[in-house]
Amino acid sequence: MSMNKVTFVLAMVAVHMTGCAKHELDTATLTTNPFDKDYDGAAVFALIDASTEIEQVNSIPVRVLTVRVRVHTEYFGRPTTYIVASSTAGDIPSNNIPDGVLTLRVLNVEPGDLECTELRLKNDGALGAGNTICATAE
Amino acid sequence: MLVDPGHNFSFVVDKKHRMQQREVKLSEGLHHFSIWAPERMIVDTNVFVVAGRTSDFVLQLPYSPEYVSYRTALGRYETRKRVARSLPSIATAGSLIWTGIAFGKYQKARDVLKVDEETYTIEVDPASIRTLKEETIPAHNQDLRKARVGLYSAIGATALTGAITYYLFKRSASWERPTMEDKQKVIFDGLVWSPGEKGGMLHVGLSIPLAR
Repeated sequence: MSMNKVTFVLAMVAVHMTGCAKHELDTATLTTNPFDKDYDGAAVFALIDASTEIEQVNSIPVRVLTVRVRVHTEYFGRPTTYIVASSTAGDIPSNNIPDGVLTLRVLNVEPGDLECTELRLKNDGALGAGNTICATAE
Repeated sequence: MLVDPGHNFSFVVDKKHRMQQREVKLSEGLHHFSIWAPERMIVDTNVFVVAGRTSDFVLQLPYSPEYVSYRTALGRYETRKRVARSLPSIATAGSLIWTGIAFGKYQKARDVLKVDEETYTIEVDPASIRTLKEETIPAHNQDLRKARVGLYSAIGATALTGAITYYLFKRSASWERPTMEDKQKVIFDGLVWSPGEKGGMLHVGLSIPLAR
């Protein structure tokens, strides 16, 4: 074997060894799963619209802010049932969220009130990613 | 004549007649034989021939000291060459096997991390994701680092043993193979030995081709 061949083989080994360092998995880069609390992708919950209506609750007129929120289930890695943990309405299972549209109702609002709700995905008692949805009462 | 070795011996009768046959007809009386075969000693002996009788002549030619020395030196040479070539070759083969196994382990460790990555993508349980990121993947990264160290060690060992093997093959190729100087043949071919009371005499035979 000539020196050129030996050098070539050693160079290939060096290239291979350099490539080996790239095969470790950096957990800091794993941020694409919405069920991960470190998720930093597009917002899972997005405001569709909000409306304010006067409703009768126990024969008492109450101003209600209704907020419709889109749950972007297409960001999930696979189709699954889930729970949305709401800071104002508690846990809402996915079977109460038809077509991925979550409806939140805030009672006794005054016109101009800014109502914010923190929403987070939840499964098996643990919280995943989320974001805050705000709407203004009219 | 029953001479060991039986196929290629030669003899000189009465210091004159060089022959290679198994049967020889001689006149009555005492005759001198110088018998030789390649790698053997020249043996001088006298045979008394009785008229009208056929006799068997049995002789075992001993190996010459040069041949014995040559065989010993050749054996040493071959053993040395075999060791110089086989040991590093075995070490290189072992290192190659080690490299193959280490590479397999490394690939396996990589595959495990690929599965972890896929699991992360499809996992829907936040607690499982936390365990995956905080415990499982770091442990598998550690396994990969260990496998990589093993692979580097194996590649290094293979390169080193390969280089040693290459060097020893090259070097052993230049080792001089022992040769035998068959002094007995020189004596037998060129000279005719006449044993005597004071050690004997060598009769020199000289042939000059006069064809041209």
